[in-house]
Amino acid sequence: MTHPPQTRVAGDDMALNGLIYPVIFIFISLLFVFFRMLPLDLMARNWTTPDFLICFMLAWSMRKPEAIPAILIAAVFLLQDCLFQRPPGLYAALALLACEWSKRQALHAEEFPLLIEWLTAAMALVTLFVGYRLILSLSFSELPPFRLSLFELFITMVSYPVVVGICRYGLRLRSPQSLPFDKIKRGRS
Amino acid sequence: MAQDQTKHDDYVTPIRRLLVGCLVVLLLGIFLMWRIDNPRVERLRANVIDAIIPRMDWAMAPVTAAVNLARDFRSYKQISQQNQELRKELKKMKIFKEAARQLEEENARLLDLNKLKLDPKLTEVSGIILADSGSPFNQSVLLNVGHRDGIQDGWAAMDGLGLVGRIFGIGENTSRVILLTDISSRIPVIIEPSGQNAFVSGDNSIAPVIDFLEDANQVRPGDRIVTSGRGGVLPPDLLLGHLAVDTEMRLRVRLAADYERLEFVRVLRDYGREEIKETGQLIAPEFQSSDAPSPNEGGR
Repeated sequence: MTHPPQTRVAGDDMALNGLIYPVIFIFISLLFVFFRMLPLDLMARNWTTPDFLICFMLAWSMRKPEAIPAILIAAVFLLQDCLFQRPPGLYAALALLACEWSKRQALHAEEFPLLIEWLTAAMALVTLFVGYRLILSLSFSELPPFRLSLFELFITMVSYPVVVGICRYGLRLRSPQSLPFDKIKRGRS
Repeated sequence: MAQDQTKHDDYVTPIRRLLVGCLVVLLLGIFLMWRIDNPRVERLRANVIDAIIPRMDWAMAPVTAAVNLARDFRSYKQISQQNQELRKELKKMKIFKEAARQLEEENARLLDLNKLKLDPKLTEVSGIILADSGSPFNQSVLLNVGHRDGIQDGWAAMDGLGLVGRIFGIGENTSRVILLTDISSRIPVIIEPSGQNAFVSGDNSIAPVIDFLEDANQVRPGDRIVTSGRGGVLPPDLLLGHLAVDTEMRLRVRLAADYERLEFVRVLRDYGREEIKETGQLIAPEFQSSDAPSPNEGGR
């Protein structure tokens, strides 16, 4: 294969990203659901693995907002709700709001180092946690066990940088500042 | 180009917001529907699962098998120690086996004496576990048998020894079993030697809790716990496990079913038992009931 000139690489890259990233995205979310559904551990337990999917969603929302349209986020989480026996729709709605909120945070920020990104993600996760439990209790639904949920929230927040690392070095997602889109914005303001 | 970008941005944002808003409203609408008309949405969910999970089975089964193989391999390290323990246990079991055989003979003789028959309607369907609930918040498994195999809601699922859970949610090819450890699981039981009624309710731990016990003084750790069949929910006399007391002095059930290695379950067919609703006309022939007093009234 011949290398195209430098100027065209960016354009090709963008066009390619437009198609490839959503596909990778869908693939990873299905993979996550798949591994969680494996009937390996049927014993009740008081610990859990981090919810990598929401981490991954938030990381992509902030690092590559145009790659995951809202409808895709909604669809993936609704499917997850269905399969994981959660009240359908509620978690999906809140997760969608959290992702959109963090997209906006990343787009409007002047500088966006990892620490701020992490804090934004943590805030989104805490809000998600509180909102989910609040709406469930307001609608008199059965709440998931509190300590287990808290543990999951904590371990998910802690594992956020790991997910970012995978996105950065495994999938070559740049940090939010290096988006050309953002540079233009910053130049304008 | 910068100008172009900003125009694009301004043009896109309100539409984006509208789209996101619509999606959120739609999703919350689904949640509200679920809250109001639970059975219908649950049926829809069962259909979605039914469409997806059996198709993933070709990939899930080998991965599960591989992980289990790796686990087995790890346990081979302690094989000699295990062997010793198993020998000891085997010796004990031989004694029990002898006792059990004697009891079985005695039981058969007594049943014969009483002309009793075990319920012939209790046949079973075996199902393979396809997937679990996907999170530790719900304790349930998906089976590869469903409406097609005549499975109905509420039937009991057992492993070789004891009750595992109840069927809850059926698709065409799959059905979901809520395990006894799930927080929404409530099973009416009898604690055996004393015959007391209680409920076994799951709390997301390995050993479910015993609730609504009449008199805690009459039960002891090690007592057998079987289903009572009250309310027609489950067939009576299915073994759940044995009574145990935890560190906080709460009564719990040590489950007889081996949850750690659950691959198959047997679903018991249960078409309900006949109910006796009226009292008077049961024994007396119809032509007598109008004028003469019935014989059993005189007996009282």
